[in-house]
Amino acid sequence: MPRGVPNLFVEPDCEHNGQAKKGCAKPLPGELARSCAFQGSQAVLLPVSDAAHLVHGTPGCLQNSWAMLENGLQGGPLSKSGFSMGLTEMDIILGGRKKLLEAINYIIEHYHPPCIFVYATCITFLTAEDLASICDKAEKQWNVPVIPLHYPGFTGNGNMGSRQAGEALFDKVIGTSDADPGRLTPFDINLIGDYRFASEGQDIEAMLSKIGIRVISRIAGECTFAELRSAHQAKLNMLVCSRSMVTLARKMRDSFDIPYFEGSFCGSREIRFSLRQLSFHFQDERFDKQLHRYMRKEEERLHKDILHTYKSLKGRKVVLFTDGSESWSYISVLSELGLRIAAIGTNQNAQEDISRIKERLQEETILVVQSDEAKMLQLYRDRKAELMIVSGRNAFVPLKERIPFLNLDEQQHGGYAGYEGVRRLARDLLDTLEQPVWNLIFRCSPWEVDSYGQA
Amino acid sequence: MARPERSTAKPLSINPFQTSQAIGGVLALQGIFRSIPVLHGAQGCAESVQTVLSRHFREPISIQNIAIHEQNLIFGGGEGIREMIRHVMSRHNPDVIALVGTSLTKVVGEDLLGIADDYFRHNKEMFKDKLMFGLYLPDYEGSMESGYAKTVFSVIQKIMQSGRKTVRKKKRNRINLLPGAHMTPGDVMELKEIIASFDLEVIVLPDLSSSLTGHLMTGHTALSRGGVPLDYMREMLASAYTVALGKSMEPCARLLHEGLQIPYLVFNGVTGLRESDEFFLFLRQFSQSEGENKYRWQRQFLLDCMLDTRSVFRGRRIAAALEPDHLVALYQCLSELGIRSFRSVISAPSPSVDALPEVPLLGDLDDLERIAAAGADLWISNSYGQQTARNNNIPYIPLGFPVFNRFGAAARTTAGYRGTAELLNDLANTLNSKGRIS
Repeated sequence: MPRGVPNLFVEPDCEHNGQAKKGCAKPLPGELARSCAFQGSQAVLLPVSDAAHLVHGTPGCLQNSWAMLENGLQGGPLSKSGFSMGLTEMDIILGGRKKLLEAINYIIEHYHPPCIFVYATCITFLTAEDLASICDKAEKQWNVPVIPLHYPGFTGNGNMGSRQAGEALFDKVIGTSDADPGRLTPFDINLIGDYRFASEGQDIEAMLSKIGIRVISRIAGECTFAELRSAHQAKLNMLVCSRSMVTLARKMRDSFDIPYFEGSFCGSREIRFSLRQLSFHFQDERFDKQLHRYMRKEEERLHKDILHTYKSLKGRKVVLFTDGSESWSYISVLSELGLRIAAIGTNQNAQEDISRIKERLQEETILVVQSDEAKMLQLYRDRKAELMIVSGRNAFVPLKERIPFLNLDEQQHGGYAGYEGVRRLARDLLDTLEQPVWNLIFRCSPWEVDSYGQA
Repeated sequence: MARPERSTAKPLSINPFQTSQAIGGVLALQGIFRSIPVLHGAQGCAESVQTVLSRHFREPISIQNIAIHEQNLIFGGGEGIREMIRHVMSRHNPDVIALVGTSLTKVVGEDLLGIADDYFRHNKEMFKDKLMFGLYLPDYEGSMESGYAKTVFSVIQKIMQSGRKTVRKKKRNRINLLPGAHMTPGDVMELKEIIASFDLEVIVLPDLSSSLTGHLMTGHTALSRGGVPLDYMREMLASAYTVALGKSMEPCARLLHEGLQIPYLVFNGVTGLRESDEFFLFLRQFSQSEGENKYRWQRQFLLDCMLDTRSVFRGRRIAAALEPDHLVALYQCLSELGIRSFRSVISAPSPSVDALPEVPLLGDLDDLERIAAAGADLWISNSYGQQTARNNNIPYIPLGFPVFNRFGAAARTTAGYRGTAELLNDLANTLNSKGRIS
């Protein structure tokens, strides 16, 4: 690791400090593949939509992030473009220094981005390419920030990469511009999230702007480079459903005096908690009153809808088979809708996530920390659940078993954040449960029956 | 040989569509029953291969991963490799286990194959009735197509080595089919049906038609769910003929020919009238049978379709970025209708492209955009090109790999008379749509 990169899992603000087992262990054999640090850093930085993102690696490295680009983001001018060095064997043997500098020059000349992020990968790390000096050189030549990211895949998992991307933002970007002070309001905040937040960010922002809060920057959400540079002017940071960048939040608190808190906007209980935290930080009576009026109004409306429109959800049992923060952020909204959570299966969760789950758990829920498919299916059947909520690769578990399921990654109607999000989730759950297909897939084929009337 | 040109204008690739060799390797293994690929790379390497394949086929993909960590760089990863083989064998009990080295393996200098061989020699009992092999598929060279072909080559090589020494009598009415990476499961299924209609038996390697097509095989397993079983695959050595689809698969067919004197034929993809005709003629002569009548009807439909769509294709300029074999298959079909130009980009050099009228550019989607800017009526590429095609207001058809946000990419058929007609209709409809939808 170049020039004393600190161990980011020694984080004073982590809750598991002092415990014997901490941080993230290396995966055991047979454990499913996870994203790597390089992908983690891309997940945080790719949403910076006007910057250019140059991957200094072999062509394969871009595969996953390409998928991410297509996925949720609206995207600015450059986030639709993938820049890769496409290193060949010769480049690896002879070194890619010269080529990299040419590539940076090419991007600046042809695309004029406000900034370039240059990602090291396993290969360039092993060939000991001095990324930092090349970036320095280009930066001086063009007077455009060229930011190296030294986080190749084998240094850890995606979480590690996210943290390190946060470091880079803190060191090189945040606080480098005081532009636009005229527009500052007393209620300016930053939202810090993870990749799912990219699609929910707009909903959250719309809701906040209704009560007079302005979002300066969305870290790991769609954001321009200029917004990130003046992120230090905010009065408050909020970690939305994700602690992967708690180090960044802590450092911003220490250097810029910006306090931070953690919250979620999934379900009215979580919204209430988050907004009250906001209000507490601002200590403004008028604002506080206004906020409570807004919450009361919205909660009453929502409550009425749940009682009438969505009442058939009440008492139905679901199994949650998700990873990361998704496993806790949906718990309160599901119970708010009257659903009962039979079991929660998680694999990739940090200890904080587990404690968040436990805080929100109903008594009847079984928590499986190291879950596998067989175990989850067993629980689903034993506890007579009617629906599975899944994400990522777990989507194939209910699909192959012909179990009704809602795939959080597949939803096309927007995220589930905010009051409107609760309605959207309720609607999606109802629609899913009512689809005739769940019965039809068990229908006997014509060569198994004599007539359908009796079968 | 006309070598493809690399665009020398820029030192990087912008919007690359190159897929790594490892993707091809893992894909090929999905078409072998109860197999498991074990990738040796950073944990992200396996994750991205799995994600991309899953998103394209909308199916679970069997894959395991020997993760390289920092400590492996210093202390070596031999124990990790052995541990992983042990784990995979005891936990999942696969029939075929493939160790795939990435570019990272090579640069780290880990002797993956040596370690695996050594392990195999010391644990012969464990691998009785199983097939274990290893190969390197670095992503700094080749593409999905070459990785796929190399994997099939390694499988055949291993089978030939482990095959019993006795000279077998060839089975007269059985052929081997080696579909290239550009053949979808739907294509393979169509060709299997056609071959079967001539009363021939066919062994397909790899057989994606029974693997990634979305059958609901219940029960959870980390192994591939369909494809050709190992003992059936071993029977390939006693087949009377081999048909390879795609130039990239020719070395595999040649291997069987050189070792076992099995004659072979290479088709580009059985797309287009002429090639379909030749395929049917071969089957007719080889089987001494007439095949099913329905194919005569399908041929009539295709002729009608060609006449119907003829006016749409006339004078059109096509811009395409695909794997080399796929480009050739597409071109031979379109050339029968008379298009004005067919300009293309490939991501890795291949001898296949000699069949194209214009030498393709070795490059990326940015190069295709430049080509298209000079005038194009149809843009053909994987899903990464969709946005660019839209921005340039060029009708776009998703083909190749990966194709996201489209259902049925796996079932799509472009082979045989019926498949060709479907492809032509599809292209013609898209060409016609210009001006009506953006």
